[in-house]
Amino acid sequence: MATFYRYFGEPVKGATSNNWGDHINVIPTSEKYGIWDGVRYGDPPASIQGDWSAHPEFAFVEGATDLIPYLRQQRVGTQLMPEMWGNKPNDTPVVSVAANAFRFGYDSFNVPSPTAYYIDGRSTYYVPALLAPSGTQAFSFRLLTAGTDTSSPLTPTTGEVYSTQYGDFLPSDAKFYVVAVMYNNGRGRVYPRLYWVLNIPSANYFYARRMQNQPSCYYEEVEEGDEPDMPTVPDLPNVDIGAVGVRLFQAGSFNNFISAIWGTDITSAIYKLIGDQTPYECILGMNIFPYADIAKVRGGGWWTGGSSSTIYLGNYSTGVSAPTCNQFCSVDFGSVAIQRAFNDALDFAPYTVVEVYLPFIGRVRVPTDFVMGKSLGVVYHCDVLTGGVAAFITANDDVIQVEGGSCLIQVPMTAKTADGARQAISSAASAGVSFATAGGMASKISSATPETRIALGSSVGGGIVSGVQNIENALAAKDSYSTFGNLALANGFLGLVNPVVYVHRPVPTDNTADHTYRGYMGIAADARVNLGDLSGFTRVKAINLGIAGASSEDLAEIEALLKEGVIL
Amino acid sequence: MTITLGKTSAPPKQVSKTMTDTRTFTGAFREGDAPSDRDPVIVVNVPMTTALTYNYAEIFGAYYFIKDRKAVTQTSTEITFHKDVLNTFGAGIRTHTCIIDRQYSDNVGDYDIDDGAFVVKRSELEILPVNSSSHTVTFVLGTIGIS
Repeated sequence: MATFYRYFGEPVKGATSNNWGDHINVIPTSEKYGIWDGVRYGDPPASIQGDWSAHPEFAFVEGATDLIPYLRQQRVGTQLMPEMWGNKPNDTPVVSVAANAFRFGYDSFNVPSPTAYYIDGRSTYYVPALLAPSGTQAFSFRLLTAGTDTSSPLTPTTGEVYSTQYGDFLPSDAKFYVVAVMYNNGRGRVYPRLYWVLNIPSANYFYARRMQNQPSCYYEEVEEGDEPDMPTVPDLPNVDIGAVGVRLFQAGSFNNFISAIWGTDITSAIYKLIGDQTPYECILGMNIFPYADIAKVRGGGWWTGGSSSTIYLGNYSTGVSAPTCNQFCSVDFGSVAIQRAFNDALDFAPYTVVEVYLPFIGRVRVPTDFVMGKSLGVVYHCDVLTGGVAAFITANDDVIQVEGGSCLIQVPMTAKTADGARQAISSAASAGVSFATAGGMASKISSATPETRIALGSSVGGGIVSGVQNIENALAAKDSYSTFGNLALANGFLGLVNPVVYVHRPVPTDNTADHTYRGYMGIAADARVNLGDLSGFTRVKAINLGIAGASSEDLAEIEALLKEGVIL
Repeated sequence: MTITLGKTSAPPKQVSKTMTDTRTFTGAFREGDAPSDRDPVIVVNVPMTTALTYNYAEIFGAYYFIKDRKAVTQTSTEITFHKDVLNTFGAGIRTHTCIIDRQYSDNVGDYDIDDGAFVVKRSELEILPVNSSSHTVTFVLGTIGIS
């Protein structure tokens, strides 16, 4: 089964330092100058040296291992990328890119002096260089450059797939800008690096300085066939409950509506409770929905703003009108970037833990490895009739987790409530007890002592106790569904109504945080390498050793030392 | 035999070592010894005081650490050596391809690999609101009725 690599959008770490791809020829050691892999090869010959004191910004960095050595120039093709245009440069350039593109890095650079363009009479100029050495696969790159004229767009320069690219750039401004963008053309590794290069073509060498603002990249190996086909947030259900007579109305004052169903006097209220006129049975619920401002319907329209319609209970017109609304809506809370803090394994599980607080649901833990370096979003799909909600947690718009809950607060005016009350009232009434209103009943019952109840009952017969008890039960039940589902929902409504991401990050020791350990014990690796290509601390995991002239004891000692770690 | 004594400040585990202040002396194995090329013991015609200034040697075309020194006469010292296999066979070692699990360069090593070497002290909490807006509440009435 072949292995390929799934790209995460954040660019990749790592480069094969001695192989710069097809379009750059590394000058032999005898012609190298400056520092390469930590080795200083000396200064350029005087004949091409020039006045480097005028270019402190290009001073070599002692100990740096990833500076470009001296490179021969080789032209690559020129391609313009019109979709990049229209973006004005600034200190932190932002470009709009195609769907399969990622902004890789950017930088700005102050040119020290116009006289620096010429050294020893040779034409000298600055170029941005994007190096994508051997091992980079399935990506192409573009560089956008511009001077200080911020009214002009960044200008795409040369481009080539899988290779180094650099464009001649003779500035007339005192400051350059560059933005690098890479396109994902498939699956592959990415090893790009951005540099500012002082180019002296007649001397065939460059001075280079690595650009700022190019985050480390990484990739994930995925076995072919196992590549997750991540779903996005689905469409809302396409169901019209109006077909079965269910109607949903939004907001407004329902005082007239209450009058319509309960009447305006005591007699009619009791009549509606115990008689045949029971319009409240047609009320499925009165709920509070907390996200009216950001709720949308299937297709993307706003959930609010439906056409006004008369409220019918069965075939009985209440004479009250209200805006209708859909049963299902989508609530997109937006997203937040989960950024890497350490650029090492500490950014992932088990060191870093990511939790999401979901309103009306609670805190849920999400897989750190799935969301790190991505944009974590939360979208609710709500059923405003039942209160059911599906909370979609997304990473770069891919759904990685779904949680269920309920996001409505039910106002105690439901069919169930009414049914319980009606049954209790009917029982009590059959025993000859009368009362003014349901509210008055509640008051009376709650203040009654057991003795009072018996006295009430004794006046009208033995059946009264059970009848009053039924009323109490009905009221107790009413309390229990004063919110929809359970009290936790009310807590959710009264608490945080927006999702919050909690990232538990480790606090490493200074040595771990600064990666200063690497000089003593190296960086963790799992690579097949030629030892001759390495320098610095190296610990071997497996080797088949054979050296002419070495005894078996010599070989055993060498292998033991390599597996303990040596300095190459 | 000829022994070249010298000094090195390279760590023992460094494959390539530079030997400085080299000086050549004569010497011989001790009588009755079975000479060893890995841990030879050689009486070198060098005063003890001079021998103490050296810590590295080249003998038989191989490199050796000086493990111990014992004065034999005023002008000779018995020196115990141990072969530095890394420096001696450094060229051969570098021709090998192998699997490595730690490396200095971040071009080869991968900080995202966790082999248990990271040291952390505790954790701290970062709170990231997904949305900080207040929202509009509305009532929803559900009914059954004719349209």
